[in-house]
Amino acid sequence: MNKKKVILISFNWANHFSLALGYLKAYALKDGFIRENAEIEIIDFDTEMLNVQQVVYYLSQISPDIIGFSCYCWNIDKVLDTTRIIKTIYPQIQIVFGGPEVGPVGPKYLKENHFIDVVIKGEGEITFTELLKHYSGTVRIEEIAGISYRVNGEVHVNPERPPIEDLSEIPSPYLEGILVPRDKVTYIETYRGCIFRCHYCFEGKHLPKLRFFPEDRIKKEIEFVLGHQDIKSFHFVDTVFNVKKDRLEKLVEMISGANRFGTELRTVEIITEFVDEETVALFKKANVHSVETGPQTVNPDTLKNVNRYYREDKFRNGVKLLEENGIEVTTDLIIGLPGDNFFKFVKSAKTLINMKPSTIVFSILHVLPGTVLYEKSEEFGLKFDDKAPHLILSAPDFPYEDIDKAVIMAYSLDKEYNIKQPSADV
Amino acid sequence: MLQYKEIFLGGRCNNNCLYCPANHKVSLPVDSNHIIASLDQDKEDNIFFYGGEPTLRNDFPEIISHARGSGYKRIKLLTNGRAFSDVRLLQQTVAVGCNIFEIKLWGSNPSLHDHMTQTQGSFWGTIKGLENLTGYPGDKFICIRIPICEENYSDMENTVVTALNFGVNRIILSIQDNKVPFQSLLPHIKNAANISIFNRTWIMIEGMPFCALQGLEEHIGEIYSGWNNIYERIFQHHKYCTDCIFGELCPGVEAKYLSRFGDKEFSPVLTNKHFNSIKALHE
Repeated sequence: MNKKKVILISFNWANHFSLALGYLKAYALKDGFIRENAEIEIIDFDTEMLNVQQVVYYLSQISPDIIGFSCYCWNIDKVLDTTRIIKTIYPQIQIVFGGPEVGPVGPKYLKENHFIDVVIKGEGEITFTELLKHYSGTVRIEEIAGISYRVNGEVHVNPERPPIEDLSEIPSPYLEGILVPRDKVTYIETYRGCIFRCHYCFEGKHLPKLRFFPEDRIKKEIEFVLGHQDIKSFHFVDTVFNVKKDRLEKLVEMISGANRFGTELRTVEIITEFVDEETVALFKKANVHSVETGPQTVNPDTLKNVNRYYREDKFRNGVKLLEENGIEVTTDLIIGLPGDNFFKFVKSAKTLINMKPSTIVFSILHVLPGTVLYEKSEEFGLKFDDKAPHLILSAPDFPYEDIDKAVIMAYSLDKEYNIKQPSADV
Repeated sequence: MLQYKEIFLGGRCNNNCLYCPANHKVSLPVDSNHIIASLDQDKEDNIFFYGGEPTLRNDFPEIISHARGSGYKRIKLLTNGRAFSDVRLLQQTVAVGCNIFEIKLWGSNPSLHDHMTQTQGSFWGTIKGLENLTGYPGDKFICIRIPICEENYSDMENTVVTALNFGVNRIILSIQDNKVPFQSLLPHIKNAANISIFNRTWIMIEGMPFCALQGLEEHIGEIYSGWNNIYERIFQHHKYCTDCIFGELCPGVEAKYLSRFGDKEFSPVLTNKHFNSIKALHE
């Protein structure tokens, strides 16, 4: 029997590659049957550089049996355009979607888009492997947990699959030679889940329990990535890099022990309230160049509405400690959270400006599928664009025209506050 | 919203604006050493240079360079922009560290602008400077300040459109005199704000009391930057301010305006959906 040709595709920005697809391939290839019967290729398309016609042409030259797409709110338009054309030309190709944009609302995507065959919900490693076995004729689709799918035009929903308890089951895509580290865009994941339950975020709601990759495997990944002299900076994808101090100490030992070429650790997500002098010393030892953090808003009512942790004094102190020690802090604010209004947003901006972080990022609320805000949007009185990227349109105290003005004001403030030093770019 | 340390670089100017404050016009040159000494610090991130026309100083690049060396992250310049019609001066200014610009534009056409500056050719000089500035590579922030007065208020919308054509980052409408009743200004201000927002550019209004700008609260410049201004102005409360919920936040109306027009057009604001949030901004 010919091997099934499987293509895993991600449309990315700025030369990034998909860690998630690396996991899918690494896990699937653990299975001897899959190795015998499937050939899996990962393709990362640059969403800015390539148009849909180019992608379709590329795929037409490969003639795959199955295409899996990694779907996010920022790339779903391109994914849908590509799959609609592909399925029209090659109806025999099986189209599988996964990722946070589609997983929580799989049946909706299947009903609205006749060219999708299967949508995976939640973590995809085991589910995708079972799907490959199904396409090779050894597993019945009804038996695969964590999917919704179409049979004879009818949409079916199978039971959910719990998150993978033991992450050591998933091989490292770096150590298996599936992903090759590249400068600026290499991410390492040391755990899954989040200690927080912010209502605008997917992670805390669906993957609440912290599950850690084994320490020896993390150490090997760090050593592998930092062993590349051309990697000047890398990242961790963990929800909170400084989630526990004893764990941070271990990670820092691994990083500093492996860091022969002075590689910088950039833009790790942290909780600033947890930062003290000891943490800063650890960050320095790990060669942390920059961190990213909330608070998204400083308004107490809004923080309560979205279940966001924020302690202003500790946050301010954390920003000060980090900046004084040369670690750039990027703080984030979201426009349109329930409870905020135009001037409460201004208050948040003013508060952050007074803290003098290196950068303030302003973004508009995305009411993402699978989040509490999405599922309880009526309760919160939120109106949002159902089409990705699901931008907020109005909240009870934040009518559309005020949100629009806040965005325009923030754009102007962003340009002024975050202006780059002239000598660097002229 | 960003607070800037303000540094006066002397009153020398290549325009002769009708509304230029007398104390600016007759001011003596400010000594270079005095300026340099006032820059030394380690606390402030933002500094703002104004005049006169700062770019006319021979030591202007050295002053900017010193400011950058003193640790200021954001260096803003209030200018008429004419000097930047010479791209070499623009290049020099940016190279030494200044990339936030506030440029005054009095009108949408040469006859009006030159009349206000009392300087033939000043309009095209400013426009050429703006062209060079917007086309110059690298990160920069450009704000257009449109002073509003009796002579130019009916041209307000056109002037805003002229500014928008340069893709600027912010527009400020600044009430400059007290010869036009607010009720005559307001239709133009509302139109100008709508034009600017439609074109996705932030716009603010300075120098009008809160009660006159109901419905435009988001655009009241003083909510963000306070009432301190490089131009000395005297505001006072009138009898209706006593009952106004904004009474403590708003300094009232310019004294000269009240003596000219009285207080009949005003009425206290008794309710406003933004009041509590605006008040919280100043607590």
